[in-house]
Amino acid sequence: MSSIEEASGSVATNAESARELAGSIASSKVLIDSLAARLDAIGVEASAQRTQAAGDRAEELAGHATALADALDSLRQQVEALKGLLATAIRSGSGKSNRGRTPRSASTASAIGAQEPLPLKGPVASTPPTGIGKRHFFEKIRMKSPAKEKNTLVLPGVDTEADIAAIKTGHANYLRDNLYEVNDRVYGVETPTGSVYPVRGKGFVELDKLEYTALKGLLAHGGSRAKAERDPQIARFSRHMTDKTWETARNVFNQGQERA
Amino acid sequence: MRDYTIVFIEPVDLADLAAAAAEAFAIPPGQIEIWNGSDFAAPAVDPVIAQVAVGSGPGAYAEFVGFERFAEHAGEPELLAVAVELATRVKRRAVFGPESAEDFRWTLVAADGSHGEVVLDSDRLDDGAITILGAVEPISGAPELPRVPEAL
Repeated sequence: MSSIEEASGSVATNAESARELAGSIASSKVLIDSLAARLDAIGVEASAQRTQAAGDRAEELAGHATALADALDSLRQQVEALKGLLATAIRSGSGKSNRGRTPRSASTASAIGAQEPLPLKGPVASTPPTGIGKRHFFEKIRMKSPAKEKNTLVLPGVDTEADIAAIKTGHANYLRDNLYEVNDRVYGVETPTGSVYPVRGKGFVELDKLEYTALKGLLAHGGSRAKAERDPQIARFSRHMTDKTWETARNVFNQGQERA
Repeated sequence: MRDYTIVFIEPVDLADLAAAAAEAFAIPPGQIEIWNGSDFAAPAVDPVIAQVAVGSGPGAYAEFVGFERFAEHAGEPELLAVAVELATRVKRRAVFGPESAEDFRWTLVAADGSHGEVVLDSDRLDDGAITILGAVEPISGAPELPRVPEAL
């Protein structure tokens, strides 16, 4: 079991490193964009274009690093699932062999009880929850992420993996239908896929379609509203977005940057 | 903010969709924006009431979008009623997303106006792709869709 623990930890560390790398590259892109803007302002157009191209390349690299981190996260989930299966098999085996033996001490039972799964309520009883879609994470939003009428985002620093683990093991509060509450956050579990989505709560923000679209623009253009508004995918909504739309998106952008 | 976003999952001509919206909701055609993916097909007249646009990902061919101004102009219709009106006029299937952050199921409206809840592939949706895994309830105009268990 310890080797599985180590494997899981190692994969998690690598995922974290990849995500940090993505963050660093993304930060570099912001600086490069700023440099390009300055070069453009002083009339060094060719250099500004080359710098902008470097910025685009940095964004692409950041995307690859994030994809690597996502892949490692998936791998870790698989390792964790394997660990769970192994633990179940061990428990089941030891249950049989322990018949007629001295019961565990109260303290040992209590310690195991804290870790052991509780009875599952709601859809997770038959549909194991998996992960949360990228479109819900501040750091993972891309221009192609779909904007719906209501969009709940997870800000950096929220331990959604721990929350999902709690849902998976029955330690979350089952509210109704497919909704669970854990650590002051409400999640939904999709059936039959098991995909988890954030609904509301601590560390989550809720945006409407235009606010989410504006945030995508800010994230894609280093926080520059002016550049975002020139992006064709944002420009199509120019007559529907207001200063308030941008203000809300800016607030979320700033919160996300501070917490990242 | 009211949001009427209806995504057509079968090819539909944007001009036809705009004409259908204009006729169905008595919108002067000039007050509907037509976005071709990189620019507006023609300058729109203020106040803009609605927009039709090319789809934004695989499986999404076109979309109708309206916000507060459309809601006021059209008399605050239900999103489903708007989707049925448009889908039956252009005779193409459309879907729209959940209206609450608590829901995850989308609604499919078939070309004949029959409709029901469907489940989309959440992973593919991350990339902007509309992929229907199955219907939660029978939809007579989309009989080939596999059923997914309700299981709540």
